[in-house]
Amino acid sequence: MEENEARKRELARKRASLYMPSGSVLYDRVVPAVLVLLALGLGIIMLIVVGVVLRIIPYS
Amino acid sequence: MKITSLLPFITTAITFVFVFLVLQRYTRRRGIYLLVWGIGLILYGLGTFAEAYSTLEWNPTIFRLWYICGAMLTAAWLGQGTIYLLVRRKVGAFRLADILGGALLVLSLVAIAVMFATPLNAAAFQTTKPLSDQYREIMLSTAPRAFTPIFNIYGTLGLVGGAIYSSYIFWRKRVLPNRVLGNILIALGGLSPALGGTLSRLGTTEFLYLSELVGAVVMFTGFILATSQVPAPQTAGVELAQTT
Repeated sequence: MEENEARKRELARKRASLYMPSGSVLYDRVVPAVLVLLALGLGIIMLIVVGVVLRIIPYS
Repeated sequence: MKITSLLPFITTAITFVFVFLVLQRYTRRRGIYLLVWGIGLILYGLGTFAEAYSTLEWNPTIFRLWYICGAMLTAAWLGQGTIYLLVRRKVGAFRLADILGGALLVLSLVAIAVMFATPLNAAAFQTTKPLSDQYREIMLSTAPRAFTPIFNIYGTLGLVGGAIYSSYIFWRKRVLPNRVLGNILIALGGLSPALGGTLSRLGTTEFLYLSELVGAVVMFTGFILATSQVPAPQTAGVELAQTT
């Protein structure tokens, strides 16, 4: 009986891990901000590389 | 030996453990993206191995291996793995990802041939300087360098852009938080050597080895997190099954 309860609790915990917790600062605020920063970082690096290739930025 | 010279040795060791895990997953799940990621990581490991070796002595084949793997092909093959995972569109009878993969393979072989045909100036080599700081004096032809930005732009957009996109999709659906965070780490890990390489092009070469080590560790952590076991979804639909 106790074993059964423990298994049910474990299953519920695993199912919950499939979804993001609601009201979480990490997922509601931090993750979108980090995604925007990553996209900006990628864009800036790509601009610099293209700038170097097109010789707008001097190749050191 | 300077501490920075040790970094490529550590990066190589970490990368080959990463290769083993990715290819082990490929043998179980058979996704072509895992095989292509495995190839990309082998190239990453060979590139950092060549850097490590070059802190000890000169070898022209090792130098060519460094330029081919470390400077030209790694990002492109890692990015191609992500493109195999994410791009399902067909062009006529062929999958777009297969067409891009075929083009990458052909271009890679051409770039390798060009690199092996390039004469080298061994007298310009010094074990005390990073390869990224001296390769322009060693290579007596600029032809191989014409390929580098093409491979790196394609690969970085594929790998980092793909990881950001995957993370955003899971975040928008509010599912699989491990994959949201895992893909963020993969994007960060992919950006790290891209930033190191860009700084190196602008004349700041001392961060390249560190950026490669950080990239390997962070991507490895992201991969472990993104592929950590969660039970098969029962209510969230088919899309969830179609993930990393």
